[in-house]
Amino acid sequence: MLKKIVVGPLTRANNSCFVEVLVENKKVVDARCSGIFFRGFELIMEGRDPRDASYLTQRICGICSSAHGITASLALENAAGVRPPKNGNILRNLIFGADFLQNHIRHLYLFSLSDYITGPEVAPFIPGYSTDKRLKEETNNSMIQHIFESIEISRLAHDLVTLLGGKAPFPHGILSGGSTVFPTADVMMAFKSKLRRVNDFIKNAMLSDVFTLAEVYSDYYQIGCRAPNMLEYGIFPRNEEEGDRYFPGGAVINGMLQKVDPSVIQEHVSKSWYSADSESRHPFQGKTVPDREKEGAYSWVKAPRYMETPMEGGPLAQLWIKGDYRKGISTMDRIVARALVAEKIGALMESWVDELEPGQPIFTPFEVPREASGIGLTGAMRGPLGHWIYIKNGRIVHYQIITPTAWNFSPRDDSDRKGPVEEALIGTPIADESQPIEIGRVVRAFYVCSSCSAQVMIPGSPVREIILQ
Amino acid sequence: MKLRQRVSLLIRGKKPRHSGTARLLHWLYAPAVLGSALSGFYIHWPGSSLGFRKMNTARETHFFAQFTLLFTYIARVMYGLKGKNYREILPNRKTLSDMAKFLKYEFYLTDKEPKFPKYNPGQKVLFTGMVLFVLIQIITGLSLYFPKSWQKTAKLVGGLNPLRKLHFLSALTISILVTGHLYFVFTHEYKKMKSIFTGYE
Amino acid sequence: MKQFSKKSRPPVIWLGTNTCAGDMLSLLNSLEPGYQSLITDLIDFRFNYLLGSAEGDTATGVLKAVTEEQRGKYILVIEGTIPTRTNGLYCVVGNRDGKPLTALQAVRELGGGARHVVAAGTCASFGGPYAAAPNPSESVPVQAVLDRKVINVPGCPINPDWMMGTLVHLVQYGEPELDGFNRPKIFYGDTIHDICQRRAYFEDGIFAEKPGDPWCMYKIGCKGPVTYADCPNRQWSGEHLSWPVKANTPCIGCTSPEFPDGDAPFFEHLPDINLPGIKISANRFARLAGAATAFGISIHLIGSILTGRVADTIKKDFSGGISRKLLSIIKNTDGKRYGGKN
Repeated sequence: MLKKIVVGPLTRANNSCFVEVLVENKKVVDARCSGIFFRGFELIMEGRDPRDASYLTQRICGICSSAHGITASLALENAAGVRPPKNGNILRNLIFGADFLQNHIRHLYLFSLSDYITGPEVAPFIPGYSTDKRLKEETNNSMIQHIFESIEISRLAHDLVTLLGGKAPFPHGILSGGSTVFPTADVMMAFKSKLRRVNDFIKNAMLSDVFTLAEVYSDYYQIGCRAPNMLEYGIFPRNEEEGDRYFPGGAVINGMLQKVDPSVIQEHVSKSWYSADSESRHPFQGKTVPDREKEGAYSWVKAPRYMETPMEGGPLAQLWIKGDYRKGISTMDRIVARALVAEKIGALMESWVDELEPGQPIFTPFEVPREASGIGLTGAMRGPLGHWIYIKNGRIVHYQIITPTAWNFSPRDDSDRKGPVEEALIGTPIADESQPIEIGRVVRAFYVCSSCSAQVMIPGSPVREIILQ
Repeated sequence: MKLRQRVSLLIRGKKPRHSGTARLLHWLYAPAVLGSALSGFYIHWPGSSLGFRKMNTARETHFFAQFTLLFTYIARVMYGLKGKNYREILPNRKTLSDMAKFLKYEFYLTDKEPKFPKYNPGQKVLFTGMVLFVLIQIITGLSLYFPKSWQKTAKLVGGLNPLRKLHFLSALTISILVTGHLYFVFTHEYKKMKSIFTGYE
Repeated sequence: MKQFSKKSRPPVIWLGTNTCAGDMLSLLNSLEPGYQSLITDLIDFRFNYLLGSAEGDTATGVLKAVTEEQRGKYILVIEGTIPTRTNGLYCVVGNRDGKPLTALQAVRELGGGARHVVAAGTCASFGGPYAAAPNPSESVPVQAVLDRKVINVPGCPINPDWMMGTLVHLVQYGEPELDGFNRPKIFYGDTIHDICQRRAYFEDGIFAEKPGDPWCMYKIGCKGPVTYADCPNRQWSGEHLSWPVKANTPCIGCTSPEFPDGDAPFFEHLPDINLPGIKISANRFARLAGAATAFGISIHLIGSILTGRVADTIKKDFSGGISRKLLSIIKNTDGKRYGGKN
């Protein structure tokens, strides 16, 4: 007998989302994921000064703000034909890296962990589901202790962002042309010693907690599985040349790794609340008008596809493409990969600090082009993030953003193919239909960020079509 | 002609073109507008080309000029109301039809110079514009000067940034009007220019 | 654990509407008291859209329980703007009786029974980035949908201290003193400019020319002179380490009601001028206006010279000598040309 379960709101997903599943014989047989709010950021970007993009687009997402800052900076740099100096590049990587650490720590301890442990006995940690909590009391209590420690540590990670970026979230230190805080000895000394404390926590608490979970909940290596279709653009440019990254980019289709070709990305909207323009489009031509009452649609998220394939992004994809972790593709693999990526980035950051050259330039001045277009691509905390910018008369005339969560949390596309989270949910066992805790575990392992997912839409005024030949 | 004759002619002559009060006020608010504009544009965009080196000098100049302007403005408005001479300045029903004639001449479509009472339509628009924009300047300026107690004004236009923009655009408009005024002064009828000093043409 | 305050912990509902969650994440950065102390000593954090364990109907159930049992006692914090387009369906916060519960509906219902309503962040306070032109979701700030006083704690994001301080004030002493925009004066009492460490550079005319220059940011668009916040003194984040000007970048005025439309571009001194169909920066506009004036005057002057009017004027007014002219004026022999320009 089919039974429908709606988890709405699915909290702890950086703002909330809705997940609806059909259950038969205690197993999920169908799933629909909905982004439940709309902001229209791409429309908001039109007519603005291109330099504002690296600050304003950060406002898309509170937890991964620097990712948007980096991508917007890269897009304008691409359009203007500039690159930051060596120091500027390293400083930006350091700010971005610190935000990665903050994000991964908070994601595990504040968003995901409540699905596996009991308590702490204080609101808002209560009320919650009581089913399927398998940890021994001692282990459980130690993880609660780590939750509160993680708040300190993630705050420390945000203070790293603040040191070089001026504030966090939404650091000012990330902008086209480079960065702005001189890496003097005092700043870098403070940075490094704080970074060491964060790294200690990752090594001593986060990794061991994740491995404990993996051991106790080992059945989650078989839950949330899907075919190896993954996409990453690469994270942290190595030097002034933008293409070479510490975490390389790549597209994995059915387990085969290939080079990324951004021109084969299409966005579908047939199941999204945008007016009936069923034709799929490349981001430079993307256009849509919101229509909340559209028949058959169920999400604000669009469905981006890479060569018609739904692609997954995030730490697991990042490690898979780098070649560091190719064990499997499941809920537990995603959780483990997140901790491993955090450890790797933390270690890399310590080495970057030593590469800084005090006294050398950190910012390259440049002229905003009168007319140009640019692409900014980077791996972000949750997967591939792309900004497409088109400038005319020195102002933005078209801005397009495809966020990681649009990839991961996408609804069905024009040919009715499910999005990655929807695919992964199929087959998930639901033990207690009144407490469907398994759904949240699968969805949250994907690093869903509703804030990021829900602004993906594009302008509809016909003027833009002329520009975008 | 002997000097005595000239003086006697002056004394029993007709009414001066500009009264003493009007001339006095003019020579008070003229430098005040100039001072406000120069110091204001320095505060807007500090640079040595406007004759200031430090912000404080510009700010003090602006302060002194703005209050001179404020008080002379009030005095001039009161004087205008008392002597009813605002009628000479403000456009009236006839101004519109006069304007066509005036523009025709100024755009060289005719060589026949039209005749007008004391001020021509161009001057009327110019002077009325100054009356309006100086008023905007006073209101926006005071709101920027007392941002806390005048927060309502900021609220009305949506915040301090739009207020600052308004102040700037208004300053720009006044500067253009003054430039236009000076252009006409220096290229048309010097005897009328003289009258703002002496009172008589 | 020892109570932070002698007062009992009031229930708090923190509802996220159209938001990026940045304000809640920023609050997590609070150093003293930290988040742990906040939830155990200061408030009873009954509902939190971001960190609450409850999901689905359990979560909406908590909302219902608090509003019914604690009417008039709970503090309502809203983070985010409230879309009004298509009856508010552009932001849904839960399900009720199988139907979507919109943020608009939820805020109206929760707002009615709250002891205090706090708008956390610029979006909730004034609209902020998500209500920026062309405001695709037709979003409005909290105050626009509630008939009661809303305490605005703006900032993009809020500094953790601003929110924590407001909460402590509400718990300990009740409503703080507010300014004309309903912002607590303890945090938004001075302009950034008035308390800026780089004020001396401003006074002496030493200005940064590009981001990364360690001087006054005025000429690259710093909105400090027109922004009320205590960033220079308080600094960011938990450990109060830095703030945008200290990081050699301009303040972008994120606590102002007009942010971001009214003060963008961020790297320009004045906001854009909106002409029909085009946005143009104020300085460019001024240059264009100046050029147009100069052009107009030159053309007119050339015209006057070519038609001989200038020559006429000079001849008429200077050729006759002062005495003859004076006489002619008095006798009004020149009266044909009555209206002149001066």
